[in-house]
Amino acid sequence: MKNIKRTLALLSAALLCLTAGMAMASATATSERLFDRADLFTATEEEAIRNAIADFQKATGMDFVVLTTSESHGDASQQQVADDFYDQGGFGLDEENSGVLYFIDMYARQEYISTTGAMIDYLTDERIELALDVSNPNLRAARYADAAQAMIAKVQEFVKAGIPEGQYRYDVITGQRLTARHKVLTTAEMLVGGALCLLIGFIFMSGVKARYRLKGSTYKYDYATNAQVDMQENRDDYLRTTVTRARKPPPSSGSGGGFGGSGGSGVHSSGGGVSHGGGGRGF
Amino acid sequence: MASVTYKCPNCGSFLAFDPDDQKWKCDRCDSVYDEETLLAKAAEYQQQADAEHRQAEADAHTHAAAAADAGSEQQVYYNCPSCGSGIMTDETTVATHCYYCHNPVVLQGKLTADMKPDMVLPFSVGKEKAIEAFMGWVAKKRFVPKGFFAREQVRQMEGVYYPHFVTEATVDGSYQGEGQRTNVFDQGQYVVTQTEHYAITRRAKIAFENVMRPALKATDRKLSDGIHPFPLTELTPFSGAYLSGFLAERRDIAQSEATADVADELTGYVKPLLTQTVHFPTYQGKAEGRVLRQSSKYVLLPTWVLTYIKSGEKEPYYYVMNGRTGQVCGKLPIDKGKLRLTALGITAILFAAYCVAAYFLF
Repeated sequence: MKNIKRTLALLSAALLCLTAGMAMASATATSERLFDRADLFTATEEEAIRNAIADFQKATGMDFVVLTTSESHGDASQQQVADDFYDQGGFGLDEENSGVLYFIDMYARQEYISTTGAMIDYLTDERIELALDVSNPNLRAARYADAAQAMIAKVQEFVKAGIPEGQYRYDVITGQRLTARHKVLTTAEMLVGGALCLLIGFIFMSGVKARYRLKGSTYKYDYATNAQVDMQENRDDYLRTTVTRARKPPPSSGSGGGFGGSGGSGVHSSGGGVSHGGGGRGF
Repeated sequence: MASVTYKCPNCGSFLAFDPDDQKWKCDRCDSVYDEETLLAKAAEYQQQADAEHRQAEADAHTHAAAAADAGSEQQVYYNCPSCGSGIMTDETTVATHCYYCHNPVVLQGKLTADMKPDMVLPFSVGKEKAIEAFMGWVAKKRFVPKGFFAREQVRQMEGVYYPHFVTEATVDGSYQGEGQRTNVFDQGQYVVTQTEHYAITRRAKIAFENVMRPALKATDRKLSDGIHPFPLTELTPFSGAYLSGFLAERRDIAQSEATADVADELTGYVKPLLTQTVHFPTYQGKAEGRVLRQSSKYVLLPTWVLTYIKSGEKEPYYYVMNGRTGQVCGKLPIDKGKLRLTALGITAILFAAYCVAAYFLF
C-alpha cells in the first residue's frame, strides 16, 4: 500500500506543476474569444460567456471560441467555416493551438463544434454527440446563451475527465486509423497491479524464509540414475480405430471493416492543412 | 571391552586420518602412513576385538542368567589406551576423543559381529576445507545477517561418521495400459476425428541401487536428507582406522526395521520407469512390481556437524555438511529488515514495469 500511496503522491505533484503552467499560459491570453456576429446574446450574456471562457482557459489550458453568424456562407460547409475561422484567428494557447470552436449558424440553422490539437483527443465523436445533445434543445428553444454556456461546461467536464480509454484518431475520409488507442491507467488497474506486485513480493519473501528454515527440502531418491531397466517385454498391440464425425460450424461472418464501438476521434484537414475534429447538428 | 588408539610406529603418538591426502598423519613427528600399513594394523585390532567378543559371548552362555542384561550399562565405559582415563560415551558412539589426553580413540569392541559396518566412505573434506566451505556457503546467502558467524566458533565443527543402510534390489515390474493416437481431418462438410487404440504391455527387471536409510533413531531426517547424495561408488571396505581422529556413531536400528519401507518405495518407481518408453500422446494404465531380491549394506557416511550457539538467540542452529561433497544443510538466521526491503524493492520495480507495460501495451 505504501508504494501506491507514494506513486499517487508523485503523480498529483506532477499534475499540480502542470496546472500551474497552464494557468500562467492562460494569463497571457487576453484577446477576444466571443464573436457574436448574429447578435444572439445580450450584453450581460456576453459578459457571462466571456467569464466562462476565461474560467475554461484557466482550468484546461486550452482555448474556447464562440462564433455566431446569420448570413449565408455560399458553398462553404459549417465545418469549413469553423475550421478556417479558428485557424486564421490565431487561437489556441499551446503549441498545437489546442482548443474548440463552437459555431452557431443561424442562416442554415446548424450548430457545429470544431476541435483542434489535443482537443481532438478529448472530444471523441461520441462525446461531441453528447455535448450536442445538451446544447441542441437550448437552440431549438432559442436560448442561445444557454446553449453556449452548456457547451462550455460540457466540454470542460470532458477535459476534466481526461482522454477516454481506448481513444484513437481516424481519418474521416479513408477510415484509416491514425493513432493507437489511448490508454489510461485507471485507479482500479493501479490497485490490481499494485496488489499483484505486492503478492509477488510477499511470495518472494516467504520463499526465502521457507528455504532458510529448511521447509520442504527433502531428499528424493533419484530413480532415473540409480535404476537399470532390463526391458523384457515391450509391445504396443493395435486394438481398434474409432471414428467420430461432426458437422462443421458455419463460418462466422466477420464484422465488416471500420471501427466499431466508441472511442474514435474523426479527423479531417482544413484548407490550411491543419487537422481538426468536429461534428454538428441542425436545430 | 576393547578400545584402541592408532599409534605412530615411529614415536608412539596418536595417528588421525587426514582427509586431504587420504593418509594417516602423526601430529608429533609428522610421519605419514598409507593405507596398507594402517589397514593391516586395523585388521589386527579388529581380530582382537572379535576374539574378545566371542569370549564374552561364550562367557554369557555359561552364566546365561547373570549376563542376560549386563549389556548396555557396561558398554558405555571405556579406558583410554593412551592415558588410562575412563571414557564415558553413549551407547551408539564408536569413535571419540579422550577427554583428558585428547587422543583419538576407536571403541573397537562396539564394532564386532553384526554391528561391524560393511563399508565406509572416508572423509575427503578436511576440517580446514570444511570451515572454508561453510563460511563460503554462508557468505553466499544474502539474507544472513552480516558477521553472524564467527570463524572461531565455526571451528568447533566435528567430523562424525553416521550409520546408514544402503540397499540394492531387483524388482520385477510390469505395466498394462491403453494408448490413443488421434487424427483430426476435414472431409467436406464434416470434421472427422479418428482415434487408434493400442494395448500397451511392458515388462522389465529393474535393478535399483543406492537406496539410503538412516540407521540412527535420533537422526534429524530433514538435516541429513539435505546433504545427499553421497558418492556411493567410492565406498571402501570398513576399517576402524578410518574412524581415528573423528567421531562415529553405531547404528541403533536393525536393518529389517530401517529398510522395511524400501520395497514399497521401489515398486512405486515401476510406473514412471516403464512408461518412459511409451510414446502415445495419451495413455492410461496400471503398474505392478514385485521385489525379487533385496540386500542391504551397513555403511558409515562422513558428515561435518556444527552446533552454533549465538548469544541472544534462543535456539542453537544446527548444520551438517557432506564430508565428501561439501554440501551444507541447516536452518539459517534471516536479516528480516534486509529481506523486507528487498521484497519491497522487487514489488516497486515490478509495479513500475507493470505501469509502463500497461500504459504502452494495452
